Parts: sequence; structure tokens; C-alpha cells
Amino acid sequence: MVARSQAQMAGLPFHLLTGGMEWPKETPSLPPGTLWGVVPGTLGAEPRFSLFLPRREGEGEGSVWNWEEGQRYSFWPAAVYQLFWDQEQLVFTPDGEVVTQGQPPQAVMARALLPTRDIWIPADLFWKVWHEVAGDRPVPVYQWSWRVEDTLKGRVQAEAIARQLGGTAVSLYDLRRSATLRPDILLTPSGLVTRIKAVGPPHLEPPSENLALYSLLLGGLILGGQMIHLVARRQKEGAILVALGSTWWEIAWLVLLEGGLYALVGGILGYLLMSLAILPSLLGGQADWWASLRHYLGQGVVVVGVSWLLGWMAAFFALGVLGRRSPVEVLKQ
Amino acid sequence: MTEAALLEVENVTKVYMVGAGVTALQKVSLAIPQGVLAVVTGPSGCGKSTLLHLMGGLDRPTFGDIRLAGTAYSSLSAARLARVRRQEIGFIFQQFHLVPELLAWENVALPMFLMGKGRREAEKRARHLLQRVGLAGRADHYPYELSGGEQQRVAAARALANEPRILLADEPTGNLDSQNAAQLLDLLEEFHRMGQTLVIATHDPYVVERAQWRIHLKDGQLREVETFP
Repeated sequence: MVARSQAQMAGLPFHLLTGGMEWPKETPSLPPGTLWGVVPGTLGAEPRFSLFLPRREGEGEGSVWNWEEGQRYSFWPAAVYQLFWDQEQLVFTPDGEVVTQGQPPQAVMARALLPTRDIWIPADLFWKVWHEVAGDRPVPVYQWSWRVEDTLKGRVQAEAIARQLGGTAVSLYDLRRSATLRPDILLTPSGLVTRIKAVGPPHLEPPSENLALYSLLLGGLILGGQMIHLVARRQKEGAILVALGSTWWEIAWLVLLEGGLYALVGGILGYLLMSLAILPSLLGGQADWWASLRHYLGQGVVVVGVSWLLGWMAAFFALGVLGRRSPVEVLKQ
Repeated sequence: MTEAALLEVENVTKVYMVGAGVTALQKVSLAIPQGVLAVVTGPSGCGKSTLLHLMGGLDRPTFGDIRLAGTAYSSLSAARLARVRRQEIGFIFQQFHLVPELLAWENVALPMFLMGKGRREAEKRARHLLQRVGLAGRADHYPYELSGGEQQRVAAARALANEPRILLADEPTGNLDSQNAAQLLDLLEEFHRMGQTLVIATHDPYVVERAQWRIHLKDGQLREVETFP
């Protein structure tokens, strides 16, 4: 797939147009095959480039470019070692070798200009674009990682690129961790200052995040223990229901429902308590409080889901205990 | 199968797999006709409760089979046997076994809820049954607010909730004083007079002398069945 695309790119008359500070509202009318974009004030302000690739029809020397039908691709020079295609991510080394691929984050997938076909940019074109945009200035190179397992690999790549450019590699993942509710962190050219600090609002310290996680874990364990205790106490009730004509599945469903509901209520209460603790930080004058709130609500969904799951695990355990005892035996006690 | 037999016990043996195996019942066969008041008597540990649990489909025999109105339990899946218990059998236990978190009327309505009856209909019938057992004024009390005799009468009302074909009572007077025991027996006799088939496991002579059928067990074996008009 990559080789085909590389061949497809060969011989295209590329022109690099740069300039301006803002992304135009409408795509400029430019010759097909033109690589064009915006040079932003800082590299941290999401510069983007667009490439129209015509479709090649025919094979060998007789092949022609169909300029009417083609595909538009976008990429960001600031994260220039990534391109997106077919809703997947390609990560390049500076010499053009593809080293990883995976799903981009939802926000990237939702972009209107997301390409839908494969593309491969030759390394010399890549560096040509880069130097046109960045010149010879030292620039920061940051990772855009959203999965822990990507981070280490991404860091190695970022550091390699940074060395070549004379810049600094900074892990965006690490920065995110230090600012729990602020996922949109971008770097200034110095590579050392986050947007949060530049804007100035307070942000959560890591211990708050950890405290919330430990609280959740503790809450889950307590709930699980309580559930086991409660269901053990209700063995007799289950046996009575069997005597009255309940099936094992009806009783199992009751136990699962009860276990799930108890844990869910516990999870919601824990989440609300956590909210009380972090609300001042959340709404403490942050410029992008809406994004923070959305992220926080997203965490809530995870908390509630995990609570429910814990409740069910406890209920399944209790059912296992119940299932081993005959109702007759329980009723005789 | 006897013409009028409602409940048939066919060569039933029950062995509990404890250690080398404990034989609780051995080759017991009997057929109980519809509408009788039968008691199962014998010394402690002779297998009375085991026989009742097997008759009620709460447990499965190791060998042999039990038929209720011609339906062999061995031919039923666990779910279908549960349905038989729900519709055809009423249980009264020595320890009452009411659900402590439910009101008296809710305890009585529980088997009706399991049958899928609506709350209003179930509550109406439950209150009616409580009235029949003389507890109309105690319907909205929790079991812990009732005396032992009252709890057992609630249990009796619960056993009748789905109009079962047969009512099985395991030592129903075992935890009651003589006055409450007499009241409960009057109640059970009243059920019997109205056509209800009853099998009572007991060693209370006062209960035994009122029965039409006396089934004597000893060491897990059927010794004698006496019948009285």
C-alpha cells in the first residue's frame, strides 16, 4: 500500500506555498498537486497543510493524471511525523519509514479534512516542508500520544527528530498527567511552557487525580465486600424464594440487579464527593472550562461503569457461594 | 397409579453424599389421595422432612420418582419443577421462613408476585387471606412485630396464596406454644374441610390424632400407613 502510494506520488509537480497567519475559510484555488499551508506565529498553534493528490489512471509510461478526481489530504507540520489515512495514524521516522500505526483520537477522526485513502510523503518532501515552515530555528517536537503504550515509542521518535532539528522533545502525555482536567495542552516554541501556564488559571495537581483514583478503588473494594456480606446474609431469603417457586435464574437476576444498583449508587456518590473536592479547581476561572467539564464528565462515565462492573463481580461471587448450597440445607438451619 | 391419588411416591431412596453417604430414605412408596389430611410421623431423624422436601420438589430423590397429579418430577427441568412448586404446592415450615424486610401482606403476596400477578390484585388477595387466618389487623406489620403464632399463620396464608393442590407443612407447630399450636391446627383443619390436601410432618401427638392418614417412618423406611375415615 505504501509502495503504491509512493509510486503514485512520483513525478508530481509539487509547489510549496507558505505565508499568512490564519487558516483560510475556504480552500484556495491552487493547481492540483500543490502542497500549501499556513505558517503560524508559533508552531504550537496547529499549523496545517493540505495536499491534493490526483488519481493516476493507467500503468507504466501511458499512465496519465486525472486532475478532476483525486483526494485531499491534511497534515500538521508541528506533528509532522504523523499522517492520517483511513482513520488510522501513520508514524514516520525522519527517513520516511513507517514505524507504527493505530487509531487516532476521536477529535482527530472527526476532522472534516481527514483523508480517506492512504498517502505516503517522501522524506525529502517532508523535510522540505518542515524547513519551509520552521526554517533553521530550533523547534520543540512534542508527542501526541493518547495511549500509554504509544508513549515510549513516541518519545524515542520525538527525541530523534528533536536532535536533528536542535529542539527539545517533550511528552504531551506527561504534561497531560500533570494537569488532570486539561487535555488540550500545546507547546510554545520554547517547548517548556504549557498553554495552561501561559493562560494562567490554576489547574489540578497530580495528587488530586491520584486521590480520586484511590478513592474509587477503595470504594469499589468496600462495596464489593458489603455486597458479599449482604448476599451471604440473604442466603435464607433465596432459599425461601426457591421454596415458593422461584427459579435459580430469577434469584440470580435479583442478586445481579441488587449488586449492580448498590455499586452504581456507591459509584455515583463517590463521584459526587470527588466533584465537591475538585469543583473549585474545575471552575476556578479556567479559560477552557467547557473542555475541562466535558473531560470531567467523561471520567464520570468511566467511574459509574467501573462501579457497576465491580458490583456485578461481587454479585457473581456471591452467586457462586449461593449456588454451592442446597436450599433445603439453608432452610434447615 | 391409584385412581384418586394426587401425590405418588414411587420407591424413593434419598442418599446424602456426606462421608460414605447417609441414607435418609429407603425405598419409600405411597400414594396420597386428593383431599386427605395426612401426617408423616416418626422419631427425629427418621426422614420426615426429607420426604416432605422430596414431595415438594425442593430436592430430587437419589432413586425412584414422585408424581403430582400424574406428572413425574423426574421428567421436569429445574425451571419447570420450580413452576410446579409455585402453582401446585404450598409450604409451611417450622421456622416460618418469612422474609423479614417485607410486611405481612407482602410476604403473603410474594408467591403471587412470582406468578406475575399485579400488585393491586395480589395485595387484595393477600389481605383477604390474612383475614381468613385472623390477622386482618396485622397485615401492615413486619414479621419481627408479630408473635410466633401470628408469623406461622402468615406463613399458612402465604402457602395458600396461589391456591395450591397440596399443602406441605414441616413441623408447623414445632415452634409454637400449645395455645398457638391449637389455633394453627384449627386453621389447617378448616383448610382441609374446604377440600385442601394436606401433608404434615410432625411428631406432635395432638396433630397425629386429628389426621385421616398416618404415615409412620422409622430409620428412613416406611413402617405403616394407617387410614381413618
